Amino acid sequence: MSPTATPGPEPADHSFGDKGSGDHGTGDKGPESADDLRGFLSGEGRLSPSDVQALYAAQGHEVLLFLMGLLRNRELADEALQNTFQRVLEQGHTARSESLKGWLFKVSYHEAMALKRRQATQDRVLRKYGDREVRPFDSHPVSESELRLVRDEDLARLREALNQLPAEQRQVVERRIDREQTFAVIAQELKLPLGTVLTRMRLALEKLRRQLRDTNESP
Amino acid sequence: MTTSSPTTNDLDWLAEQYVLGELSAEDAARFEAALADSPAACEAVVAASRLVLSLQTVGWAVPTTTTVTSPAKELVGTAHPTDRRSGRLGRQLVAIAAVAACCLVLVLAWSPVRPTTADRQVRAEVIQARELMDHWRGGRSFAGPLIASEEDDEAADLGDAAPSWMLAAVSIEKQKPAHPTDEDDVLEDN
Repeated sequence: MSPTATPGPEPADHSFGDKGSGDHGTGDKGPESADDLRGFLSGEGRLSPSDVQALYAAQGHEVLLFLMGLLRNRELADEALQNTFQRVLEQGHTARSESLKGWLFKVSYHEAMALKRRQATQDRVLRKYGDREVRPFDSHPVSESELRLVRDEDLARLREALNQLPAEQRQVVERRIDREQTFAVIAQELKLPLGTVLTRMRLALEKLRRQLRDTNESP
Repeated sequence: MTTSSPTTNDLDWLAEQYVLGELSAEDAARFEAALADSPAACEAVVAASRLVLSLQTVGWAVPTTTTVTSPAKELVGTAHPTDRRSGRLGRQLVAIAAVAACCLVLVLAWSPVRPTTADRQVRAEVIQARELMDHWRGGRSFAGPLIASEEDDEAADLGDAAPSWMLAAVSIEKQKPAHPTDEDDVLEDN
Protein backbone atom coordinates (compact mmCIF):
# COMPACT_ATOMS: atom_id res chain seq x y z
CA MET A 1 0.00 0.00 0.00
CA SER A 2 1.27 3.39 -0.86
CA PRO A 3 0.82 5.89 1.92
CA THR A 4 1.23 8.79 -0.49
CA ALA A 5 -1.81 7.88 -2.52
CA THR A 6 -4.55 10.47 -2.40
CA PRO A 7 -7.51 8.79 -3.95
CA GLY A 8 -10.70 10.68 -4.53
CA PRO A 9 -14.20 9.73 -5.45
CA GLU A 10 -14.79 8.53 -8.95
CA PRO A 11 -16.86 10.97 -11.05
CA ALA A 12 -20.40 9.81 -11.52
CA ASP A 13 -20.36 10.12 -15.32
CA HIS A 14 -17.67 7.52 -15.77
CA SER A 15 -18.74 4.62 -17.85
CA PHE A 16 -16.84 1.88 -19.56
CA GLY A 17 -18.34 -1.08 -21.27
CA ASP A 18 -17.57 -4.52 -20.01
CA LYS A 19 -16.64 -6.11 -23.31
CA GLY A 20 -13.94 -8.40 -22.04
CA SER A 21 -14.03 -12.07 -22.63
CA GLY A 22 -14.62 -12.74 -18.97
CA ASP A 23 -12.35 -15.74 -18.93
CA HIS A 24 -9.70 -13.98 -16.88
CA GLY A 25 -10.08 -12.68 -13.40
CA THR A 26 -13.47 -14.12 -12.79
CA GLY A 27 -12.30 -15.76 -9.65
CA ASP A 28 -13.49 -15.00 -6.20
CA LYS A 29 -11.07 -12.17 -5.48
CA GLY A 30 -11.29 -9.59 -8.24
CA PRO A 31 -14.14 -7.41 -9.39
CA GLU A 32 -16.19 -8.68 -12.30
CA SER A 33 -17.81 -5.53 -13.63
CA ALA A 34 -16.94 -1.96 -14.44
CA ASP A 35 -18.85 -0.76 -11.39
CA ASP A 36 -16.74 -2.99 -9.19
CA LEU A 37 -13.62 -1.57 -10.80
CA ARG A 38 -14.82 1.94 -10.20
CA GLY A 39 -15.28 1.02 -6.59
CA PHE A 40 -11.76 -0.33 -6.42
CA LEU A 41 -10.34 2.88 -7.75
CA SER A 42 -12.12 4.91 -5.17
CA GLY A 43 -10.29 3.02 -2.47
CA GLU A 44 -6.93 3.86 -0.99
CA GLY A 45 -3.53 2.49 -1.93
CA ARG A 46 -2.25 0.56 -4.90
CA LEU A 47 -4.34 -1.86 -6.83
CA SER A 48 -3.82 -5.45 -5.85
CA PRO A 49 -2.76 -7.98 -8.48
CA SER A 50 -6.25 -9.44 -8.50
CA ASP A 51 -7.69 -5.99 -9.21
CA VAL A 52 -5.30 -5.58 -12.12
CA GLN A 53 -6.23 -9.02 -13.35
CA ALA A 54 -9.88 -8.07 -13.28
CA LEU A 55 -9.12 -4.86 -15.07
CA TYR A 56 -7.27 -6.85 -17.69
CA ALA A 57 -10.26 -9.12 -18.14
CA ALA A 58 -12.55 -6.15 -18.58
CA GLN A 59 -10.42 -3.89 -20.75
CA GLY A 60 -7.43 -5.90 -21.94
CA HIS A 61 -9.02 -6.94 -25.20
CA GLU A 62 -9.85 -3.39 -26.24
CA VAL A 63 -6.50 -2.04 -25.15
CA LEU A 64 -4.80 -4.76 -27.18
CA LEU A 65 -6.86 -3.85 -30.23
CA PHE A 66 -5.92 -0.22 -29.70
CA LEU A 67 -2.25 -1.16 -29.49
CA MET A 68 -2.53 -3.32 -32.59
CA GLY A 69 -3.93 -0.35 -34.44
CA LEU A 70 -1.05 1.79 -33.28
CA LEU A 71 1.79 -0.68 -33.69
CA ARG A 72 0.50 -3.06 -36.38
CA ASN A 73 2.59 -5.79 -34.89
CA ARG A 74 1.33 -8.41 -32.48
CA GLU A 75 4.59 -8.92 -30.62
CA LEU A 76 5.06 -5.21 -30.01
CA ALA A 77 1.41 -4.85 -29.05
CA ASP A 78 1.74 -7.65 -26.51
CA GLU A 79 4.82 -6.00 -25.08
CA ALA A 80 3.08 -2.65 -24.86
CA LEU A 81 0.07 -4.30 -23.22
CA GLN A 82 2.30 -5.90 -20.62
CA ASN A 83 4.00 -2.59 -19.93
CA THR A 84 0.63 -0.88 -19.69
CA PHE A 85 -0.66 -3.21 -17.02
CA GLN A 86 2.64 -2.99 -15.22
CA ARG A 87 1.95 0.74 -15.02
CA VAL A 88 -1.57 -0.02 -13.83
CA LEU A 89 -0.11 -2.09 -11.06
CA GLU A 90 2.22 0.72 -10.08
CA GLN A 91 0.06 3.78 -10.64
CA GLY A 92 -3.47 2.58 -11.28
CA HIS A 93 -4.63 3.94 -7.94
CA THR A 94 -3.88 7.45 -9.12
CA ALA A 95 -6.38 7.26 -11.94
CA ARG A 96 -9.16 9.18 -10.28
CA SER A 97 -9.63 12.39 -12.20
CA GLU A 98 -10.54 10.81 -15.50
CA SER A 99 -12.25 7.71 -16.68
CA LEU A 100 -10.34 4.54 -16.15
CA LYS A 101 -10.69 3.56 -19.76
CA GLY A 102 -9.37 6.90 -20.93
CA TRP A 103 -6.51 6.57 -18.50
CA LEU A 104 -5.75 3.10 -19.81
CA PHE A 105 -5.78 4.36 -23.38
CA LYS A 106 -3.45 7.18 -22.45
CA VAL A 107 -1.00 4.90 -20.69
CA SER A 108 -1.05 2.36 -23.50
CA TYR A 109 -0.65 5.13 -26.04
CA HIS A 110 2.52 6.36 -24.35
CA GLU A 111 3.84 2.83 -24.05
CA ALA A 112 3.17 2.23 -27.72
CA MET A 113 4.86 5.44 -28.78
CA ALA A 114 7.89 4.57 -26.65
CA LEU A 115 8.10 1.15 -28.26
CA LYS A 116 7.66 2.67 -31.68
CA ARG A 117 10.53 5.07 -31.11
CA ARG A 118 12.72 2.29 -29.77
CA GLN A 119 11.87 0.07 -32.73
CA ALA A 120 12.60 2.87 -35.17
CA THR A 121 15.98 3.46 -33.56
CA GLN A 122 16.82 -0.23 -33.68
CA ASP A 123 15.84 -0.47 -37.31
CA ARG A 124 17.89 2.57 -38.16
CA VAL A 125 20.98 1.13 -36.47
CA LEU A 126 20.50 -2.24 -38.10
CA ARG A 127 20.09 -0.65 -41.50
CA LYS A 128 23.18 1.42 -40.94
CA TYR A 129 25.39 -1.51 -40.08
CA GLY A 130 23.56 -3.97 -42.29
CA ASP A 131 23.71 -6.79 -39.77
CA ARG A 132 20.52 -8.29 -41.01
CA GLU A 133 17.60 -7.47 -43.17
CA VAL A 134 15.19 -5.30 -41.27
CA ARG A 135 11.66 -6.47 -41.36
CA PRO A 136 9.27 -3.75 -42.48
CA PHE A 137 7.43 -2.28 -39.56
CA ASP A 138 4.02 -2.81 -41.08
CA SER A 139 4.51 -6.46 -41.92
CA HIS A 140 2.56 -8.61 -39.55
CA PRO A 141 1.40 -11.90 -40.97
CA VAL A 142 -1.78 -13.11 -39.41
CA SER A 143 -0.84 -15.63 -36.78
CA GLU A 144 -2.76 -17.90 -34.51
CA SER A 145 -2.37 -15.46 -31.66
CA GLU A 146 -3.91 -12.72 -33.77
CA LEU A 147 -6.84 -14.92 -34.54
CA ARG A 148 -7.77 -14.86 -30.91
CA LEU A 149 -8.34 -11.13 -31.15
CA VAL A 150 -11.19 -11.74 -33.52
CA ARG A 151 -14.39 -13.28 -32.29
CA ASP A 152 -16.18 -15.98 -34.24
CA GLU A 153 -19.48 -14.13 -34.17
CA ASP A 154 -17.72 -11.07 -35.60
CA LEU A 155 -16.43 -13.16 -38.47
CA ALA A 156 -19.83 -14.65 -39.17
CA ARG A 157 -21.49 -11.25 -39.27
CA LEU A 158 -18.69 -9.90 -41.37
CA ARG A 159 -19.02 -12.65 -43.95
CA GLU A 160 -22.70 -11.96 -44.17
CA ALA A 161 -22.09 -8.24 -44.55
CA LEU A 162 -19.44 -8.81 -47.20
CA ASN A 163 -21.86 -10.86 -49.25
CA GLN A 164 -24.36 -8.02 -49.11
CA LEU A 165 -21.90 -5.43 -50.36
CA PRO A 166 -22.16 -4.23 -53.96
CA ALA A 167 -19.64 -6.02 -56.14
CA GLU A 168 -17.59 -2.91 -56.86
CA GLN A 169 -17.23 -2.11 -53.15
CA ARG A 170 -16.40 -5.67 -52.24
CA GLN A 171 -13.78 -5.74 -54.99
CA VAL A 172 -12.00 -2.71 -53.53
CA VAL A 173 -12.11 -4.13 -49.99
CA GLU A 174 -10.76 -7.46 -51.16
CA ARG A 175 -7.92 -5.92 -53.11
CA ARG A 176 -6.94 -3.65 -50.22
CA ILE A 177 -7.24 -6.17 -47.39
CA ASP A 178 -6.57 -9.53 -48.96
CA ARG A 179 -4.17 -8.65 -51.76
CA GLU A 180 -2.70 -5.76 -49.74
CA GLN A 181 -2.75 -3.42 -52.69
CA THR A 182 -2.58 0.28 -51.99
CA PHE A 183 -5.47 2.49 -53.05
CA ALA A 184 -3.26 4.01 -55.72
CA VAL A 185 -2.53 0.61 -57.24
CA ILE A 186 -6.19 -0.39 -57.06
CA ALA A 187 -7.18 2.81 -58.84
CA GLN A 188 -4.55 2.20 -61.50
CA GLU A 189 -5.54 -1.41 -62.12
CA LEU A 190 -9.26 -0.72 -62.17
CA LYS A 191 -8.73 2.41 -64.27
CA LEU A 192 -10.70 4.48 -61.79
CA PRO A 193 -10.01 7.83 -60.16
CA LEU A 194 -8.40 7.51 -56.73
CA GLY A 195 -11.32 9.37 -55.19
CA THR A 196 -13.77 6.77 -56.49
CA VAL A 197 -11.76 3.94 -55.00
CA LEU A 198 -11.54 5.74 -51.66
CA THR A 199 -15.26 6.42 -51.66
CA ARG A 200 -16.07 2.79 -52.38
CA MET A 201 -13.77 1.66 -49.59
CA ARG A 202 -15.22 4.15 -47.17
CA LEU A 203 -18.80 3.18 -47.94
CA ALA A 204 -17.96 -0.50 -47.64
CA LEU A 205 -16.18 -0.06 -44.31
CA GLU A 206 -19.06 1.97 -42.95
CA LYS A 207 -21.46 -0.88 -43.65
CA LEU A 208 -19.08 -3.50 -42.27
CA ARG A 209 -18.36 -1.43 -39.17
CA ARG A 210 -22.08 -1.04 -38.54
CA GLN A 211 -22.49 -4.79 -38.68
CA LEU A 212 -19.66 -5.34 -36.23
CA ARG A 213 -21.04 -2.71 -33.85
CA ASP A 214 -24.41 -4.39 -33.95
CA THR A 215 -22.71 -7.65 -33.07
CA ASN A 216 -20.83 -6.14 -30.16
CA GLU A 217 -23.80 -4.22 -28.82
CA SER A 218 -26.19 -7.13 -28.99
CA PRO A 219 -26.37 -9.11 -25.73
CA MET B 1 -7.07 15.88 -44.50
CA THR B 2 -7.64 17.40 -41.11
CA THR B 3 -8.20 16.08 -37.64
CA SER B 4 -9.87 19.20 -36.27
CA SER B 5 -13.39 18.51 -34.97
CA PRO B 6 -14.22 15.69 -37.35
CA THR B 7 -17.62 14.04 -37.32
CA THR B 8 -17.92 10.50 -36.04
CA ASN B 9 -17.84 9.07 -39.54
CA ASP B 10 -14.86 11.17 -40.45
CA LEU B 11 -13.08 10.04 -37.32
CA ASP B 12 -13.85 6.40 -38.07
CA TRP B 13 -12.63 6.74 -41.63
CA LEU B 14 -9.51 8.54 -40.46
CA ALA B 15 -8.82 5.79 -37.95
CA GLU B 16 -9.33 3.13 -40.59
CA GLN B 17 -6.93 4.84 -42.94
CA TYR B 18 -4.45 5.14 -40.08
CA VAL B 19 -4.72 1.46 -39.18
CA LEU B 20 -4.39 0.49 -42.84
CA GLY B 21 -1.27 2.64 -43.09
CA GLU B 22 -2.77 4.81 -45.82
CA LEU B 23 -2.22 8.18 -44.17
CA SER B 24 0.76 10.27 -45.13
CA ALA B 25 3.49 10.59 -42.52
CA GLU B 26 2.33 14.08 -41.67
CA ASP B 27 -1.33 13.11 -41.28
CA ALA B 28 -0.41 10.00 -39.31
CA ALA B 29 1.68 12.05 -36.90
CA ARG B 30 -1.16 14.54 -36.49
CA PHE B 31 -3.63 11.76 -35.83
CA GLU B 32 -1.31 10.13 -33.30
CA ALA B 33 -0.97 13.43 -31.51
CA ALA B 34 -4.75 13.67 -31.33
CA LEU B 35 -4.91 10.18 -29.84
CA ALA B 36 -3.09 11.34 -26.74
CA ASP B 37 -6.01 13.50 -25.61
CA SER B 38 -9.03 12.11 -27.41
CA PRO B 39 -10.73 9.00 -26.05
CA ALA B 40 -13.09 9.14 -29.01
CA ALA B 41 -10.16 8.84 -31.39
CA CYS B 42 -8.85 5.93 -29.34
CA GLU B 43 -12.24 4.24 -29.57
CA ALA B 44 -12.20 4.80 -33.31
CA VAL B 45 -8.80 3.11 -33.52
CA VAL B 46 -10.12 0.16 -31.52
CA ALA B 47 -13.08 -0.19 -33.88
CA ALA B 48 -10.88 0.18 -36.96
CA SER B 49 -8.39 -2.34 -35.65
CA ARG B 50 -11.17 -4.82 -34.88
CA LEU B 51 -12.62 -4.36 -38.35
CA VAL B 52 -9.32 -4.66 -40.20
CA LEU B 53 -8.19 -7.71 -38.20
CA SER B 54 -11.54 -9.35 -38.79
CA LEU B 55 -11.32 -8.65 -42.50
CA GLN B 56 -7.81 -10.08 -42.58
CA THR B 57 -8.93 -13.28 -40.92
CA VAL B 58 -12.36 -13.62 -42.48
CA GLY B 59 -11.00 -16.07 -45.04
CA TRP B 60 -11.88 -14.68 -48.41
CA ALA B 61 -13.69 -17.14 -50.60
CA VAL B 62 -11.43 -18.97 -53.04
CA PRO B 63 -13.08 -17.66 -56.23
CA THR B 64 -12.64 -14.05 -55.16
CA THR B 65 -9.07 -14.34 -53.92
CA THR B 66 -7.54 -16.21 -56.84
CA THR B 67 -5.41 -14.19 -59.18
CA VAL B 68 -7.64 -14.13 -62.20
CA THR B 69 -6.26 -13.82 -65.70
CA SER B 70 -8.66 -15.50 -68.07
CA PRO B 71 -12.07 -13.99 -68.84
CA ALA B 72 -13.82 -16.97 -67.30
CA LYS B 73 -11.88 -16.56 -64.07
CA GLU B 74 -12.55 -12.85 -64.02
CA LEU B 75 -16.22 -13.60 -64.22
CA VAL B 76 -15.88 -15.82 -61.20
CA GLY B 77 -13.80 -13.28 -59.35
CA THR B 78 -16.08 -10.29 -59.75
CA ALA B 79 -19.43 -11.94 -59.50
CA HIS B 80 -21.73 -11.15 -56.64
CA PRO B 81 -22.46 -14.42 -54.92
CA THR B 82 -26.22 -14.40 -55.06
CA ASP B 83 -28.10 -17.36 -56.45
CA ARG B 84 -29.44 -15.51 -59.46
CA ARG B 85 -26.08 -14.20 -60.50
CA SER B 86 -24.26 -17.42 -59.81
CA GLY B 87 -26.81 -19.20 -62.03
CA ARG B 88 -26.12 -16.77 -64.86
CA LEU B 89 -22.44 -17.11 -64.24
CA GLY B 90 -22.69 -20.87 -64.44
CA ARG B 91 -24.44 -20.66 -67.79
CA GLN B 92 -21.77 -18.31 -69.10
CA LEU B 93 -19.04 -20.65 -67.96
CA VAL B 94 -20.72 -23.62 -69.59
CA ALA B 95 -21.05 -21.67 -72.85
CA ILE B 96 -17.38 -20.67 -72.78
CA ALA B 97 -16.32 -24.23 -72.04
CA ALA B 98 -18.51 -25.57 -74.88
CA VAL B 99 -17.05 -23.13 -77.41
CA ALA B 100 -13.53 -24.00 -76.31
CA ALA B 101 -14.27 -27.73 -76.64
CA CYS B 102 -15.72 -27.25 -80.14
CA CYS B 103 -12.65 -25.32 -81.25
CA LEU B 104 -10.41 -28.05 -79.90
CA VAL B 105 -12.37 -30.79 -81.67
CA LEU B 106 -12.27 -28.88 -84.96
CA VAL B 107 -8.54 -28.36 -84.73
CA LEU B 108 -7.92 -32.00 -83.92
CA ALA B 109 -10.26 -33.22 -86.67
CA TRP B 110 -8.86 -30.89 -89.32
CA SER B 111 -5.18 -31.50 -88.86
CA PRO B 112 -4.86 -35.18 -90.12
CA VAL B 113 -7.14 -34.61 -93.17
CA ARG B 114 -4.77 -32.19 -94.83
CA PRO B 115 -1.62 -34.04 -95.92
CA THR B 116 1.55 -32.07 -95.94
CA THR B 117 3.86 -31.68 -98.95
CA ALA B 118 6.17 -34.32 -97.55
CA ASP B 119 3.26 -36.76 -97.24
CA ARG B 120 2.35 -36.25 -100.89
CA GLN B 121 5.94 -36.80 -102.02
CA VAL B 122 6.23 -40.01 -100.02
CA ARG B 123 2.99 -41.33 -101.51
CA ALA B 124 4.15 -40.56 -105.08
CA GLU B 125 7.42 -42.35 -104.48
CA VAL B 126 5.60 -45.38 -103.11
CA ILE B 127 3.32 -45.53 -106.16
CA GLN B 128 6.33 -45.23 -108.48
CA ALA B 129 8.15 -47.99 -106.62
CA ARG B 130 5.13 -50.28 -106.94
CA GLU B 131 4.95 -49.66 -110.70
CA LEU B 132 8.63 -50.44 -111.02
CA MET B 133 8.21 -53.70 -109.11
CA ASP B 134 5.28 -54.67 -111.35
CA HIS B 135 7.35 -54.07 -114.45
CA TRP B 136 10.23 -56.11 -113.16
CA ARG B 137 7.98 -58.98 -112.29
CA GLY B 138 6.40 -58.92 -115.77
CA GLY B 139 9.81 -58.71 -117.52
CA ARG B 140 8.87 -55.53 -119.29
CA SER B 141 11.04 -52.48 -119.65
CA PHE B 142 10.16 -49.50 -117.61
CA ALA B 143 9.42 -46.44 -119.70
CA GLY B 144 9.53 -43.90 -116.96
CA PRO B 145 12.59 -42.48 -115.27
CA LEU B 146 13.95 -44.74 -112.56
CA ILE B 147 15.28 -41.93 -110.47
CA ALA B 148 14.52 -38.34 -111.07
CA SER B 149 17.88 -36.65 -111.56
CA GLU B 150 18.67 -33.01 -111.02
CA GLU B 151 19.11 -32.56 -114.78
CA ASP B 152 15.56 -33.76 -115.34
CA ASP B 153 14.39 -31.30 -112.81
CA GLU B 154 16.33 -28.56 -114.59
CA ALA B 155 14.87 -29.62 -117.93
CA ALA B 156 11.41 -29.55 -116.42
CA ASP B 157 12.12 -26.10 -115.10
CA LEU B 158 13.44 -24.98 -118.49
CA GLY B 159 10.35 -26.41 -120.16
CA ASP B 160 8.36 -24.01 -118.14
CA ALA B 161 10.61 -21.01 -118.55
CA ALA B 162 12.60 -21.37 -121.82
CA PRO B 163 11.11 -21.03 -125.30
CA SER B 164 10.63 -24.14 -127.46
CA TRP B 165 13.27 -23.26 -130.10
CA MET B 166 15.93 -23.17 -127.42
CA LEU B 167 14.94 -26.57 -126.13
CA ALA B 168 14.99 -27.93 -129.68
CA ALA B 169 18.55 -26.74 -130.15
CA VAL B 170 19.62 -28.34 -126.96
CA SER B 171 18.03 -31.65 -127.92
CA ILE B 172 19.80 -31.66 -131.34
CA GLU B 173 23.11 -30.99 -129.72
CA LYS B 174 22.55 -33.82 -127.32
CA GLN B 175 21.84 -36.29 -130.14
CA LYS B 176 25.06 -35.35 -131.92
CA PRO B 177 27.69 -38.11 -131.38
CA ALA B 178 31.11 -37.36 -129.97
CA HIS B 179 33.01 -38.58 -133.09
CA PRO B 180 31.86 -37.65 -136.58
CA THR B 181 30.72 -40.54 -138.74
CA ASP B 182 31.29 -41.07 -142.47
CA GLU B 183 27.97 -39.60 -143.30
CA ASP B 184 29.01 -36.43 -141.56
CA ASP B 185 32.17 -36.27 -143.61
CA VAL B 186 30.17 -36.63 -146.80
CA LEU B 187 27.87 -33.91 -145.82
CA GLU B 188 30.80 -31.66 -144.95
CA ASP B 189 32.42 -32.38 -148.29
CA ASN B 190 29.20 -31.46 -150.08
